[in-house]
Amino acid sequence: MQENPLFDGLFKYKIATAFTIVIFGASGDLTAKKLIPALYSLFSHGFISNFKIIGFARSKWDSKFFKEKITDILKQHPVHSADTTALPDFINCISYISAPYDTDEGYELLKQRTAASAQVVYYLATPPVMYEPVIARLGSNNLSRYDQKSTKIVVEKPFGYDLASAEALNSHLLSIFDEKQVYRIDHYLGKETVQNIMVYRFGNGIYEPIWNSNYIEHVQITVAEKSGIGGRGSYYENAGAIRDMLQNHLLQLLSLVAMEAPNDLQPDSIRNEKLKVLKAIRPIDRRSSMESLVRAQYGGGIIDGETVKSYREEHGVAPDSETETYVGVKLFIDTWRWSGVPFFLRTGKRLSRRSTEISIQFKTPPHLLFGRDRTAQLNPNSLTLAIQPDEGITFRFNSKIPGFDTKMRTVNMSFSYGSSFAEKSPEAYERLLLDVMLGDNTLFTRNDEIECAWRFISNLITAYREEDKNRLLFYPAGGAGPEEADMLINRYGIKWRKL
Amino acid sequence: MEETMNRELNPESIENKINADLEKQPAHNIRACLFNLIFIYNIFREHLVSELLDFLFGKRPARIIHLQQTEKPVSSSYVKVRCYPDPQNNQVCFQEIIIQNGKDEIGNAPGTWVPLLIHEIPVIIVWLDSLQPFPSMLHTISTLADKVIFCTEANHLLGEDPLTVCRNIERQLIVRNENSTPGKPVVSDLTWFRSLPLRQQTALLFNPVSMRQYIYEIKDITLHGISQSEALLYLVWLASRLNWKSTDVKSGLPRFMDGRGNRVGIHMRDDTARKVVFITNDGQEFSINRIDEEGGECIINERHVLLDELDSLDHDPLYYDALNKIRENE
Repeated sequence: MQENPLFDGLFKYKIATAFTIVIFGASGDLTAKKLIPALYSLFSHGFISNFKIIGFARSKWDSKFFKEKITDILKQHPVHSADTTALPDFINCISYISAPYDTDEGYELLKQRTAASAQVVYYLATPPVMYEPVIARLGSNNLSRYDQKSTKIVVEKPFGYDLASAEALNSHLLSIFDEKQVYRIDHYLGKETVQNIMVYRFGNGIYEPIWNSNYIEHVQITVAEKSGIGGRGSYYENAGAIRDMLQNHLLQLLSLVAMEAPNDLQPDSIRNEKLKVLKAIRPIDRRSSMESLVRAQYGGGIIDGETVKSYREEHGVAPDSETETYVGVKLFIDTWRWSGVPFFLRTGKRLSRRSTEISIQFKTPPHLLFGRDRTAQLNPNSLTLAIQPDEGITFRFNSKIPGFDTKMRTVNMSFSYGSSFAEKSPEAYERLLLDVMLGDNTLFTRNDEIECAWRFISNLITAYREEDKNRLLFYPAGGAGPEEADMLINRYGIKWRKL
Repeated sequence: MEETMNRELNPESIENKINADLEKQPAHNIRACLFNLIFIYNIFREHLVSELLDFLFGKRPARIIHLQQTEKPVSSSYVKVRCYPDPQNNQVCFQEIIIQNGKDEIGNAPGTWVPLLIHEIPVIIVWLDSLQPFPSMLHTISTLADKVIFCTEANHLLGEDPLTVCRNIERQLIVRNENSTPGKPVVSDLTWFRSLPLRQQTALLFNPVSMRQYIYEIKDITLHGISQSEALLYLVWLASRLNWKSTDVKSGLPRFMDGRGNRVGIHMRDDTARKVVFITNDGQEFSINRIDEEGGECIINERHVLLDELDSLDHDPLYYDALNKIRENE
């Protein structure tokens, strides 16, 4: 076929080709709060134009009611309510199927409605317990593979409850779909600043030579939340901070910070490097769990001047719940690059401040030129990548205080996204949904990544369950977490960064 | 917004005024700047530049120097600071210095405004003043710049011939072998980006497999409702992609011969609707008539393009190749 020389270099952005997205769990919160606003934003910005949205759920709604619900959602949305000019066209693309997930009735109708679509995306926004029947029915109704059709499936977290359930879910999913059709979503990876970690590391020549155990003393990764569990009590009771945050968000951040440079930006090149990191995390066993892990649960307290309930008083939570809402963990990555460098990860709910950041702390100079006593008072250099809420990068270093004496103090060099690039970054779900339509799975988790992360987490859970002394601790809401978490890090002569 | 009149042209005094106005801003990060942006334009275009900057305001912090060309006998200046708070109360500020160059030419003198450039950040010049003849000042200041952005449509509206303007830009500023003269700035043209929808639609028209056979069979092109400057850039793009040879023309639109040495007919039609009609060697007719961009003075329509251009210091190789077609048969 003759080439088209006119095409080169003209199309800067990829525009999604025609598609139908089927949202299972369309009457739920995720659809209302994230998926519909993200799809509307993509539509109003011209990234998608030829599409259909089919809501699929058990709620006894019809298309008219679903359209009204979506209209209300968008009219009340904090961003989209300001401009609803594209709303009528958007609503026209929507329909709804009310049916059980585990009978063929709805799927037959779905087959008719998607018959003319060249690309169909199934989005599992149901409770996880419904994944298996939906996947099975998509398979048995021949909706997973078509000869002339591209089909994809997006699976929300939690992807499994432990290693065994994750393996079972992967196995079931891959008996119906091919891995290249599967998009396991971790919305953290859709955040602009998380994507910037790779740009920052591999787009600047200065960091790579010092990004190793020769220069880095330790790394801290913090995902602190001020909010509690909201209305998710029954879900959270079975998950806890380890499954809800550590298994996915924190380990994904860790892998981006610690990975080797990929050969190229192909999805599998990046995911292969991330997988190597996950595989190299030293397992935490019963013996090491006492000094490597802190689990805690929030009690009552004060946040923003308001009294808040303890976790055990939350709706849907057992009064004697042993579920952790805070976890602090010390990890080692057994590779040449990271040999001996501790990684401290913590996440918790009802902490004093919302903050997600990665802080790289460098070693002090090898020769204490300015005297041991003075140097000891100084902070080592650190590089902090703030991911939310104030996205930016801060480098901390020491400087001489003007005067006749050689006094030093720590100063900061800061880059703030807010004051440099003021326009709004795309929401994580916008970016990820568009990537699904475009067939780019770089920012999605592969089956082996998921299983590797679960292998580490399952070992961790087994270890603390076997170790009686590793009991659940408590911390007051509005604080920085349990005191014992300080001991986790203090024994290295360092402390957690202030929240 | 703080605005301080400053009749003096002393850089230190101007800097002090800027600092004083910045100090009055309520929040932190007011001094962040991503680039120096120098606008050079006749004062009668002030409102257009102002609209352009209003679009950029709140998106990127910058030190902006206006070199307004006026008929006043004596040059003067004033400063303006305006900041836009984001939700975290970071302030995205414009530090603007408006130098009104008079007949004394002191305002234009690099000694007046070069000390006002912030070090270590890019210098981007937006040249909206005359390019015919090529101004000697542009030679001088382009050595300071990382990028020079033109708008040949704006020059056309000044009564200048687009072909001559583009030829001047190509001759004076485009570096063929970048490694040999690293000091030269990147050059871009807002009118080039204005022609992007036209180029995209053309590429899409000939993209279906059934249409590929006609790509090298174009015998005649009629452009409806497209300005001469945009038509010029569009045609030299086509010529560069299809390996047409250009023939020597002093002004107006260039003429081209296709790969077989046959002349390609070019026709311009005044029209309100923007349309391009192609006739092939076997007499078939194809047209593009869904070109979304509207007419008007390009610097207003290309505000979003300017933002992209300010974010990148790379050149567009397609643009450089297209301009090379203008030079080909000189």
